[in-house]
Amino acid sequence: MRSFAFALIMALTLAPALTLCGQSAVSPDDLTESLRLRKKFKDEAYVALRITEKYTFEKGVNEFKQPVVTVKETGEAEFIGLKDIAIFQYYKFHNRFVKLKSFTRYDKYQNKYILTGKRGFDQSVTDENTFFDDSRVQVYSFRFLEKGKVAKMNWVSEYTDGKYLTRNFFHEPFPVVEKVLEYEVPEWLDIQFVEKNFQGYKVEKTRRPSGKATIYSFKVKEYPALKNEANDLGIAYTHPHILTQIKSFTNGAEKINVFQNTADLYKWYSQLYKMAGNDVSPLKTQVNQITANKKTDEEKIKAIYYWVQDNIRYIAYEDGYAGYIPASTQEVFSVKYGDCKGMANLLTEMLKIAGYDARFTWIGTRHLPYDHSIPVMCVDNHAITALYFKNKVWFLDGTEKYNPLGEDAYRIQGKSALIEKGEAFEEVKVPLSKATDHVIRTVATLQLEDNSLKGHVKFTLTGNERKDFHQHYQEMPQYAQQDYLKEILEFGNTNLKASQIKSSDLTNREIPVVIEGDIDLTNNINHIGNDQYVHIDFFPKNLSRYMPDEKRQKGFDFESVFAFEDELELVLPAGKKCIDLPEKLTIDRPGYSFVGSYETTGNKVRLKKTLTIKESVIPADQLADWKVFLESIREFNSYLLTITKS
Amino acid sequence: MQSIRSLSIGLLLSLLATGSSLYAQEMIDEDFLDALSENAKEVWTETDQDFTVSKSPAKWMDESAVAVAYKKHILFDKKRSGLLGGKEKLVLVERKHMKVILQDRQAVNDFSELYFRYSSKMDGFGAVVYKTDGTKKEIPLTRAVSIEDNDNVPEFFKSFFDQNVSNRNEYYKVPVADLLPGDQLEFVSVTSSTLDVKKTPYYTFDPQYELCQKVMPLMVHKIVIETDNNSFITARSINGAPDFQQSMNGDFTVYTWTDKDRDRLKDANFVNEYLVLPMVKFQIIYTDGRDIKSLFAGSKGQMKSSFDSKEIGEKAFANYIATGRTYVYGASATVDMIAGGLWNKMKNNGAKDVTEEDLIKMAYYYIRHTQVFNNYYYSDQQFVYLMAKLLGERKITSEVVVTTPNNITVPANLLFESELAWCLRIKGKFVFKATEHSNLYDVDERMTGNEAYVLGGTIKALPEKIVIPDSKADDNKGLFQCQVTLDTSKKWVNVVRTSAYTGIQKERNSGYAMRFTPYMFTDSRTYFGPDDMEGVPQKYADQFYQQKKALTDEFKERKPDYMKQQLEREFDGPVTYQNFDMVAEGRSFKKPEMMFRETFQVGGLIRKAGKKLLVNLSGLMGGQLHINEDDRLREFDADLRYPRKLRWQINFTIPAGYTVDGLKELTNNIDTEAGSFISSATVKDNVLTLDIQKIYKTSQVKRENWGQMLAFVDAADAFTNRLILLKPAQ
Repeated sequence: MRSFAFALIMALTLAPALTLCGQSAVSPDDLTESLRLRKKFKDEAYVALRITEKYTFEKGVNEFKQPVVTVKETGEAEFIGLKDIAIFQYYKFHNRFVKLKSFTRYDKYQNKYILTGKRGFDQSVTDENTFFDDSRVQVYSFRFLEKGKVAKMNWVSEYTDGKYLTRNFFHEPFPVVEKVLEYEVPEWLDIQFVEKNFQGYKVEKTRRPSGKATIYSFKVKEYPALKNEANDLGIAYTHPHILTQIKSFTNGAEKINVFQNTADLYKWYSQLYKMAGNDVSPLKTQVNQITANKKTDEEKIKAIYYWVQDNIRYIAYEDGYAGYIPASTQEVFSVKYGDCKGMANLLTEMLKIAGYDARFTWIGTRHLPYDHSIPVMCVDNHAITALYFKNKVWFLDGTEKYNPLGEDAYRIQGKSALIEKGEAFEEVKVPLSKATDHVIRTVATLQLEDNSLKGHVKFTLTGNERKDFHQHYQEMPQYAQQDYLKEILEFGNTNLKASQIKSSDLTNREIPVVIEGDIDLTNNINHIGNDQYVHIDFFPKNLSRYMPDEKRQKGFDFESVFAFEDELELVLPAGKKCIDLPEKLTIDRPGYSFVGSYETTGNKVRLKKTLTIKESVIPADQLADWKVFLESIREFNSYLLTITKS
Repeated sequence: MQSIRSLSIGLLLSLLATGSSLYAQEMIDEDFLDALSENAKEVWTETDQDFTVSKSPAKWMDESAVAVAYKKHILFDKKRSGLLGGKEKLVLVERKHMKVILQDRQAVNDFSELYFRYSSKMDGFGAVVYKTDGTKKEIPLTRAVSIEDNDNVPEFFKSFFDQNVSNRNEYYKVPVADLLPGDQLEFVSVTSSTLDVKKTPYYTFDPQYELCQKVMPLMVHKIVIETDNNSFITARSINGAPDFQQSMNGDFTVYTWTDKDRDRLKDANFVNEYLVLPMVKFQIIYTDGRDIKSLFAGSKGQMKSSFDSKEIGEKAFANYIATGRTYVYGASATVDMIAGGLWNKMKNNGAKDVTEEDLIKMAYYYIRHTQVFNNYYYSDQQFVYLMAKLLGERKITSEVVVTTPNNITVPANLLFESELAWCLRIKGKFVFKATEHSNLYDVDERMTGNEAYVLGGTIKALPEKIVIPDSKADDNKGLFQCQVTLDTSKKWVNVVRTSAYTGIQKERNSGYAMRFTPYMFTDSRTYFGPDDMEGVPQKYADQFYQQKKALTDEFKERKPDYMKQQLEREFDGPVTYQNFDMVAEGRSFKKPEMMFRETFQVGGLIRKAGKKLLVNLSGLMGGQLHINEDDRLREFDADLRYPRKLRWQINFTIPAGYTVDGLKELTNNIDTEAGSFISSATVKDNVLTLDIQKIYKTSQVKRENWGQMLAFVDAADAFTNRLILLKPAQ
């Protein structure tokens, strides 16, 4: 609250700066434009009037003295305030590959632009999973205190290697009245602009000659702001963007392939991979120790895989090319930490030492909706090990702690893996699993008495659900682990008390996790008149976090598939019966389904429910149906049993 | 793979939109490494048997980590340098040494990154890991990277002196190689800072509150403070914590505090840690050798551990009379300057002619307005001085009262100046520092019921010992009147709720209730103050009104969304929000009660059983305090902060075609000395009225009376699950 009051005070403090000779800073034309745009973008405080990014290409050399294509980006962005208060920031990214050569700001006073900033505030941006990286932004902060206020920025960035000009989006976190991406392609350069998700969006494309070059232009108009929404699907799946594929260029008489095809992409990866400088000799003793008492090949492979999972911590340094070259096996082995490349490199070589055909492998996680048919650097963001064993390719991911051999994390399922094979490579798709491979199963028997509702519950996790459990459970303080198991059996329900907790062998990552114990749900009984009203569905899975509100624009991404399977049995005391059972509910959609039913047999009432998320994504155009689905489940779950005299 | 290379728009959006800190990172300069290692040697070479232990006691085998020994040695040494010793610096050196046995993966994760400071060429750091096979591995610092936000540095790695000389400190983090459960980690650090004290008569280091218990059990915990003869130390141990022991080391006085065999600090609700847990608190004050009366310190060489009422009176008075010259945060002006300006404004608005009672109000609200509108922030001492000074313009007597904040300490244990809490007694009534929404005579929960001292009119006058009146449950009320109907879909309940708050309940709830309301623009109206634009040139006034309208419009848009989120948390279920109407801000002396009306729908409160409906009307109380199994046995007295009375009157219109049942189960009458829970349900003219009262009678519940607390709290908690039955009429 005070920040808003403070904004007002700031407004007063800055008031003299808003005027020139007592005049408003805003020209009548800008004010008119602001009012026009306000009608169009009602909820917005500011919009970009225009963003232009022009890319030109030159020849250069990279850090390895190899000829490369360099890129110069010249840009301009102009903003206008639609409300009397608009506070926002605009930033430009830079790192070791993308040098921000200039970034200037101009504020408009009436019809005149005045230089007000020669350099943005420079800050580092580090992803929470990364120990260190060289990603930075320069930021300008804006505080428009008058509608119609205009400011613009100009910048020049240089890409030291065109491979790192990977993709450009049209949408921004704010509305864009007009945005133009222009690529001036010289005749010595063979480049392809791969259009993604253009369907359904208006993108004006032109191509015109300019001397010895050709200018490709992509223009969009009046695009709305791109808003963050919880559990949303990455915009690369849904929003238009351009992938820049530099295929080849001529350097004198020589034609140099860059990313003509997947083989070129592999060649580049392979070059970086070989620069790791592996010396596997320090690993041999360790491999021998790990596999010493293992009899079968499978046991040996598991022992090595699990050793890497358990002993190598994930710590990532991302600094220029060092962010792409795997750390050497001997280094990762020595320090016992590394990123995905380092772990994949170590795991691959350890398996090789043990005599198996293991291969370093590049892959894009499901966050990236691309495969290697588009040879651009942004199609891959992860590294794993591929193992050729028993006439099958196995995918081993050292970063996935507590993952059993043969099970793949959902984030790489369905994705094309680019497997190192010396001069050649192989592409293999990671198989997709089914929801029923990842089950959260609850089985309970409850005994109703006059004033008590008690019983026993057994909770089982399989597949990725089991792995996720282990990743949390094994990393928590050991003194808190037993309480955690109890909490699981209490399902976040303050009416439920669990005791006598037992579990399966939680040191074994390969078997289902089973937690069971006695439960007391007595406070779930409502005595009204001579009847009891009992809610036995004490852990309703209504997925309320995924209930779309009226403003929701994007679909949901569960980032997994899974199934809840519940079986509850209520045993009634003698002389009592259950009446008014609800009807069976069955909803089956391509991406999700629910079946729930109550049945009575003798003095027992059985509730069986299965909720299955078959596809990990609920697309935006299915949100209405999804909402009805959730509401139906919620209503079914809220049902109370009436227990009366028989 | 460098996924970050294609830095997601989402990440940037979230970082920039939320204003989260962005961490600048640089690799460590290799030139620093030798210095760090060299400077750490002096600690490594100390022989200390405490660090030779390599096994946890059996009782702590299930702990995540066990600290074998944790020691810090703090040195204060004044040094002269320069021509004829013209430069005078206070050299501050901290040597820290810790050894931890890591017993599980959590501990490994916690210590997988070590932090150290390198801000001066004298700073040092080193760490080693002892593997389970007995081998020792040094941790290389070559891959250390700098961090920008020093707040992220864990306690064990922070320099004691950062509190006073932090602006230029550079911290680094380094990953620990080859660390596994069972390993022992040992590290040492040396941090050296200097303070220019040539023109400083005294320098007060921040008070330290050192709980004996930490996040892990400690076998040995030692603090050594070594000072030259110009530094004073105050220290007090409470609740069974050991005392500092004093000795000499040449010209230096050495104070040593040793604690052993201490369990891990465990979470517990309603525990006022500083009051009930074993703790030592201490403060170091450097002076140029003079005796400064206002300082809470003893005499040279004396370790002061308490102050009697005479001393408190003298020191508080000496502090108080200097208040006028202190600067007010956010104002760029001293208290005296603000007093002058305010008195001029008050005079222009008739302050010389109003009654004394009206002048007291005027002074209070004029000061409050400077907080609301000008964003000034006063300490309670400054507020008291300012208020007294304005009253003094009309020779209205006010008495200055000092006590201690009851969430920090009690007057008998007062040791630091910062532990003083101030208020005024005017014509027998207590006046506490104004907050943004408080009214004259509103109480401050930190001071109610406290023992206190009324300062005399001179430094030598003995203060009068008094007790500030405690507040009663009836003073701090929350009343919620709900008109409830069923939605035609029978899935939602429609609610029109009027919430009214008084006393501390109001103060606690004002923040969220007033959020996104334009109270700051109407503040002067609450006390008939002058227009904020009085005397402001027209062109600036016009801009102000333009901005005011823009902000007010913005608030109108954001308020419903904000309140909807609050209600979704309160009811733990879906909510649709229609309207918020502020009936009374409760920010004026005449109308101190805050009241607002909301119209909304709540889902998840209606259940079906055949054709019958069961409605969870008591769910409209919102989530009630639930006492977990672990908290049912109590080790310490419970600190509930203040007594309060909460009442819900829920009027539910029974839908046509239904009869109601289940009212008998809605009657409760639990009354204990700690509190009560009383409920009843009646039907009149087709309206079911649920009348519920939950009263916390006292601010403190003795450990032995915890059962009384559980009785009414459990009843209220269980009550939120009760249902009423709506049966279709035959």
